[in-house]
Amino acid sequence: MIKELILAIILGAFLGLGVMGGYLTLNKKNVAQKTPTVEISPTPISDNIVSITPTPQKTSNDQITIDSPENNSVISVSKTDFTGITKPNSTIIITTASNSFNGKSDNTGKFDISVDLDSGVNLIKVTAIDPNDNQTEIPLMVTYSTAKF
Amino acid sequence: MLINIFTTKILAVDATPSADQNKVQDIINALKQNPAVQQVIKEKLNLINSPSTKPKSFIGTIVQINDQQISINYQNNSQTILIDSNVAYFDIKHNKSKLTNFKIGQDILAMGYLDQNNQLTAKRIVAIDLKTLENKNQVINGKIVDISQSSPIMVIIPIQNKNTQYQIKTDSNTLIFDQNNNKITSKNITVGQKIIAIIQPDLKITKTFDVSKIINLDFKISSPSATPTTKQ
Repeated sequence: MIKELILAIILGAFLGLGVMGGYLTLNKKNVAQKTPTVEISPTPISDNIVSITPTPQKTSNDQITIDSPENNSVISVSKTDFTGITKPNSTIIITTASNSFNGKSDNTGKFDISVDLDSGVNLIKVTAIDPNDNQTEIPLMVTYSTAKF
Repeated sequence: MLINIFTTKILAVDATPSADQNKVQDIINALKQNPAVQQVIKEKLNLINSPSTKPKSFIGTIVQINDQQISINYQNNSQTILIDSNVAYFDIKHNKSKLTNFKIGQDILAMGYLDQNNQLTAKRIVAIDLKTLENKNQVINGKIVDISQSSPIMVIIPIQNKNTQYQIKTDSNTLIFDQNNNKITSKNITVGQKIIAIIQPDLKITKTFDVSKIINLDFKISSPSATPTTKQ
């Protein structure tokens, strides 16, 4: 009785393994026939997505970039720092209609020059002269106003 | 029998490409559906697309005007200014004014906030005269080729354009510095030295420029004629 039981278990296990093996083999063939592709196409989360066109904030040409202040900005204090980057060790001259301020860029090209603004509209020119006497100028407009709006 | 069992090939369950793909797709779908992830992305998009919170200003000459918007031009750039009943108007003397006092051809300064379409929603509009605001300063990097003995005039030739020369006039208001921003005097300027001069056209003498500031790049503090005073 016990012998038959053991035999039945062994036979059953053998049969099960065989069936499983056959199934897996068949499945592998089917997968190989298809070309697996994973299409990851992100769908919009919202239907109201507006195309992203960030407003440029830095004023620059190919030789000098003004990080701050932004062109066309309104500033509520008369003294403001002009920061930016140009070639290293350049002489920087910043002129308003009535005054001028100068400094130098450091050995990484960064500069930070304090400027006294005129009341109202300031048409400003930022000039950089590098150690090889190459000169570049960039204009920007800044308004000094304490008006609250 | 036992040997047969052990020798029977047992095919391992390998991770199939389809299972991987499904897992990846499941993760993506889960992320898309996750409200927290959606919220963060929406907030970031709103931040980028929302009108600027920093005030902006534009100047220009009115080319078009009606009760809803003003179009201005400045140096070949156009700007649209949106107006409503909340805009405060001022004349050139900063007295209160009104929209009907502004006409095509008038120069204005408009202050407000930019919207997503780069149009300015105006809060204040001030009449100005662009000619009086012009920055006439020029920066000349050049060498001194002549210094007058009888008048405060010197001639400089730009380093980058040796075909031109500038006759520049100093006066009591002219500030003169060395390259380290130490104040020096006109006595420290000699022929052959390299300077940076900030000049404006003289209103009375043609072909002459008033110089407001000179930076003497060749001034050496050990020179016998050196008379440095104070830092700027």
